[in-house]
Amino acid sequence: MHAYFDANDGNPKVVIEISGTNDGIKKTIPALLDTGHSGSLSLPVLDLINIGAKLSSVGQAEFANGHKGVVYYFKVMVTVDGKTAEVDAGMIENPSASEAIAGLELFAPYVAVIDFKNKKVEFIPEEDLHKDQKQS
Amino acid sequence: MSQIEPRKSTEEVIIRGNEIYDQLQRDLEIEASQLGKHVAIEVDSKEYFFGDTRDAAVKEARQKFPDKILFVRKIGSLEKVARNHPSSSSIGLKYARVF
Repeated sequence: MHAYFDANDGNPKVVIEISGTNDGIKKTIPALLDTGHSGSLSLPVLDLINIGAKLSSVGQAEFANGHKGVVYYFKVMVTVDGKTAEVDAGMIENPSASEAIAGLELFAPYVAVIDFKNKKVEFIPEEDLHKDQKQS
Repeated sequence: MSQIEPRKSTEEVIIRGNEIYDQLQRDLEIEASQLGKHVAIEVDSKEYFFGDTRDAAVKEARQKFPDKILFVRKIGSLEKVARNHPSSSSIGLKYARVF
């Protein structure tokens, strides 16, 4: 899995591939790794249009600024670390937003090591972690 | 000639979904028995599906309702979304007339 600290904003990012209902349209995008986001993924509205994602569900959520509001979720196929899964991705309504936001749920099968001092992000599959613990 | 069922607007789905959620809380006290889980509600049938995560609840509901727009929310406190999610309730409701 390609994960890194972005030199431009100093934030941890992970590279994911997304696709919707438009056959053949796949986008590889960097997503901000946000530990305060309890969902799986939020995508800018323009990315959702681009891949032809279909509306799946609506819900209510609390935003970081304390506001409560409506969130629209779209069916998106997401490939992370070579594994593809279907997720309901929340829509980021602001058309000027260009960055995807990856939440904790998307990385549930992994243990994340975020080394702020050395600016490194590493994802370890849980089974590999247990393997290492048994060996040591 | 077969009749085409009119699709509910997302605004209606949200209103009906909240009503059904409140009813589930009154009748089944889901905020005590299922606290922290997610519930996906199909508002026409009033059927509901629980899951440990949002995606798990949706996956469960999709087996019976592959094409319906679902109302989904976290049980108890609302789900917290991204720190720089630039949404607000006013923007969100404007989109209710788009979908």
